[in-house]
Amino acid sequence: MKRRHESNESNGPTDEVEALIEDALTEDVPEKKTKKIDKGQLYKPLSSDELHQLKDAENLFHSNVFKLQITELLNEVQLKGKRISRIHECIKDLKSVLLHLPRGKEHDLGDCSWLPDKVKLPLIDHGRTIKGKFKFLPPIDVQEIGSFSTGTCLRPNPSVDLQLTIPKDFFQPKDYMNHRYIQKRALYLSVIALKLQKQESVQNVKFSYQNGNTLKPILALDYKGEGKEVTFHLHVCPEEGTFKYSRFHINKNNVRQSWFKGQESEEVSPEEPATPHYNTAILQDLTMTSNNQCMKSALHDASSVKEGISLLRIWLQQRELDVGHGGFSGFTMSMYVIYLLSRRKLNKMMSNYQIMRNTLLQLAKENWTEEGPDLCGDKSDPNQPMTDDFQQIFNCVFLDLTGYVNLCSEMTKSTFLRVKHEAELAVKILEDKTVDSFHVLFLMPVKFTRKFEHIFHVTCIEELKNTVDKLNLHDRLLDYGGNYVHTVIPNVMSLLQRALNKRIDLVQIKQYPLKQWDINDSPPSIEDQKVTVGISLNPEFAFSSIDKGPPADSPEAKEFREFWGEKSELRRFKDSSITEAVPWTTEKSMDRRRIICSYVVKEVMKRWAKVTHISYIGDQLDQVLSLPIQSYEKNYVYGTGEEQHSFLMQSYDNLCKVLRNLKDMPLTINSIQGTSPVFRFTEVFPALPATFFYHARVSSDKKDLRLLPQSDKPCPPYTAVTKVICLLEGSGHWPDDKNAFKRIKAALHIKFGEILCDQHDLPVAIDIDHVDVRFEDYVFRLELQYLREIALLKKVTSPDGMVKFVDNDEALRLEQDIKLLPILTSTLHGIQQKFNSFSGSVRLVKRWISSQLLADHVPDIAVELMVAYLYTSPWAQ
Amino acid sequence: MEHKSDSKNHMVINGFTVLQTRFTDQSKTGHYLYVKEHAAKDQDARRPPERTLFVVNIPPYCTKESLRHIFSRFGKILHIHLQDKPTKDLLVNKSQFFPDVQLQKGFKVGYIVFRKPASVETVKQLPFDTPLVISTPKNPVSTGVKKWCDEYEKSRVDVKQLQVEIDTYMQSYDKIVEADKKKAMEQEGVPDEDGWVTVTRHSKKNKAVPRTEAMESKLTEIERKKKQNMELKNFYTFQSRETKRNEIATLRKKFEEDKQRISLMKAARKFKPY
Repeated sequence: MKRRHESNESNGPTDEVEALIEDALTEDVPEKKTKKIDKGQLYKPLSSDELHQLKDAENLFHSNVFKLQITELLNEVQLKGKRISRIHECIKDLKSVLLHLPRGKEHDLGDCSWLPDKVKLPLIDHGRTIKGKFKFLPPIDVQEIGSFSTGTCLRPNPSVDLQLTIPKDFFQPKDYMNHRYIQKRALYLSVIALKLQKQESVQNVKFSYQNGNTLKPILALDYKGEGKEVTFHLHVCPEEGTFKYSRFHINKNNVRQSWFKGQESEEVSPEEPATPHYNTAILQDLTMTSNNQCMKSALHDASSVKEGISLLRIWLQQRELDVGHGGFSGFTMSMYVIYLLSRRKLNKMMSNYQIMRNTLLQLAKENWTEEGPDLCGDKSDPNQPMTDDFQQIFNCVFLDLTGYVNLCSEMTKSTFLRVKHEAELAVKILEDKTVDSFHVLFLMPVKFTRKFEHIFHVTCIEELKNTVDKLNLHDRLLDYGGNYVHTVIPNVMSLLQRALNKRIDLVQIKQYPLKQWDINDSPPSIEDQKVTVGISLNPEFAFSSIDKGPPADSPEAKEFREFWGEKSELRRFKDSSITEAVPWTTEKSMDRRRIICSYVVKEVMKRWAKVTHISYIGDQLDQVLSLPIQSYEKNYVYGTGEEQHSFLMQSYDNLCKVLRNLKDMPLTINSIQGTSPVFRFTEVFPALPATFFYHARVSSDKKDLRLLPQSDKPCPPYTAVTKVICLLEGSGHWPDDKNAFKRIKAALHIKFGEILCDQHDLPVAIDIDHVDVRFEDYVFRLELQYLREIALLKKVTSPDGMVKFVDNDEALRLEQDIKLLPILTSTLHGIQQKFNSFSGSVRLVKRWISSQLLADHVPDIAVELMVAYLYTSPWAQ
Repeated sequence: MEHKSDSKNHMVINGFTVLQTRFTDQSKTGHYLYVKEHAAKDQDARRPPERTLFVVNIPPYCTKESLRHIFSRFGKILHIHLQDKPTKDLLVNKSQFFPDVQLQKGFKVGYIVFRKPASVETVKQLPFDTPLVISTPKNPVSTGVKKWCDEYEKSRVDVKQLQVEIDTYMQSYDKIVEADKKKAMEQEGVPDEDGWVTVTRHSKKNKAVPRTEAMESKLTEIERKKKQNMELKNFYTFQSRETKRNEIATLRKKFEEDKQRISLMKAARKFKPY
């Protein structure tokens, strides 16, 4: 019979069924933990609703549970009807206040001294004179836009975006030039802030930036009507037709160099650089109405699409991708879904799950850095910029409805690649039936600090000014209105990408949430910005101590030399190729090689960005794994212990050769397998070669060479033994009785020890169930075992002669030691080969657990398995 | 609780005489031993009731040797047995290297077998206020580092002795196995009084399959499958109707269960993303 596992719900979210489920969820919450399902209910005839519901139970969703979970989640984040109507009332109130603001007097645009102390202009003061007149006029229209208007707004902190349309008369013809528009816009907001603050119901009036763009402030405030207060974000935009779109063509210049440099002369040099970012910033205001209109009309009758967008926004938020300057905002996501709808990749009949999944699938496939989506269907306008121009100027491209605006003009390439990477991961998770994909996708936050192995901060932001000079980005600085941090970041990121190249999978700049500040404060200065970069390493190449460049005689060699400068040198490699190369370190130890990336980052930042103050986070915990040993050999470096594991393993391999070639053994050894943690690379402090020189009575017998401690003398040094299991071949001579079996085994150990001692002159200590042997200064504990002993221990014969196998402690312990542990050891060894940070992580966890005094309560092997689980399922985090 | 203290100053609780111990003669406090005559329904030659003293609450540091040292004052001791718990049958280790019984760390019970019954009586009449000293300068109980050193030294195995013990054990074992085999060979093909012939693995004609539980369940499974294959499914109308009804019922059941799971998760606030 087909199981109802894959079952699901109808194509469009039929409200009936939705309601049915909702009722079931809200009303029938059982008092007891599990309610008995009524047998009679199960067999009653099908109603049409139910038939519908069961019949549509096809692969529309991931699984039935997944669908129910989504419904619950949406319930949790969507605004309820009552709250929505409250908010609408607030909007109405605020609207009437805004629309009836009195006109102001005319002032000079450059002179803000008339503004009272209660409010400061929300722009960073750059000291340039701005011409023009300012006269406040009330907005002609106030509209809700963005997520609230489309119903994709998320609790618990919903904010309502309001768009204030400034009348045409407010602007003068040449206002697009030289930041006049920017200044006017900021002044306009300041006046509104001032007036609104007088209102009783308005609280917490603050400024912030639209998408982190320091040219475009917005006003945030809480409006307290009846009930809970509502957070509003006020955006301003000019009336339709104030400026021509083509005036802001990305190849045109609207900020004159002479003005920017503070020169008085008004001369227009023939080669003024284009100001695409400045133009885009203004165009975004101009097209705000039409883009929002498009969004509203596309979404107003498609509730499942809206829900899909909400899900995607939760997904983005959990990954901290939608915040800050250059983030992949919820608005971008909504527009992308609309783009996919227009391209018929999605349709309105799809369920919310399908919308989400298909969007992620598409996102994983596309590369906006090469060919971005384009919402503009109408290409008839001859003034429209070429798509290729967009691709050349911007890192990522997503064209809006008008074809003039790049919706992700601020997004760096690395940010998009991160989003793409997350989308790929999400698709993989959805395909993997073994993961609780709901939890991983929507409930688990993926913090920046946990996503990236290495992180560094630029501690002295002012140094980035040097970067502008070094990389000759003055034109861009003009374009960004003097914000040198935003100017250099795309270039810095591509420098890092180029320098780290194969060593990394991802490099991303952290998007910090936007700041808000009181209206009577100055806006945060550029130096207050934080620059944090995360690096996700590619384990295959990240630790190579040398970067191999192009062959010496190739044309690329010159470029390579230029990039690395003195660091680059000609090298001859083992495969007899002579190439340019950058050697980073001569040290072989893992702990040094692990931070090679920091050398690369520091070098490239110093050389190309002139940034020297970097705090690099990557190896801070290494010292916990280090041992302050006195080196008894010259040049002996302990590092973080990985090498000591390998040294021991080499000795073990040599020992294996010896064991396999023993002559005269009564039974041959079938397999040899070490089971100590050291063979899994998980010993916190692996055994070091033993050296004996303390006072001790050594027994004279060569076959039992041990140091005996004496209470009045210092104790001989502790020598950790390393356990090795040797499985013996099968034979008919093994006895069937467990007591006899043990004695035969002991006899074999005696013989084994004697053979080792006689044939190879190795010091041994023979015991009943093992032989300790000192080999290459390590002590190995060899255990001879035979798998049938497990069965023998389990065997019970009932009075009537029936043979049963019953588990008991002794048998299970033996099974674990000689059967399971060897398998596990080789598996974990494999994990270490694949992920070379496994060893360090396990050992750190072990150290942590034992410093909590819990080591006796959590078995080592459990710790190892837990860490291994994290490595084998990367989304478990 | 019965609490009796007579003129001779010895204290009896629930039939046990209470004895105080001190680790050394300087110690101010110590553990109490509770002793009485060993009494068992079954006669046991190794623990004759009238001569055996049953001791409870023997502290972990008190070894067989120190017990012998303390109690030999009251008469000659034949054996001392230490155990974790009192048992019906005495647990004895026959082998030096392959112990059948492992003593746990902690308080133990002991059986001290004296040569004369009078010794038991003497011990039972010991006064409460004169404590017994466990570690005396003559017979010290080793402690601390010295104890660990001794234990480590003791843990070494004398290989020669071990080999000898194994050899003797295996000889007797081989004899037993040989005898069993011989017996089986003799009985080969000989029916018992009901006429049944026992087949063993030594049989020449029919090698017997070992009679194990796994084998048994395998056979019953084969039988069950055979039976199932004989049945007709979806042959009559009522059968196919029944199958469909069951199918729907399972679907519904699954759905209901899913809903219950979700409501449990909801109760555990599993749906709050932030």
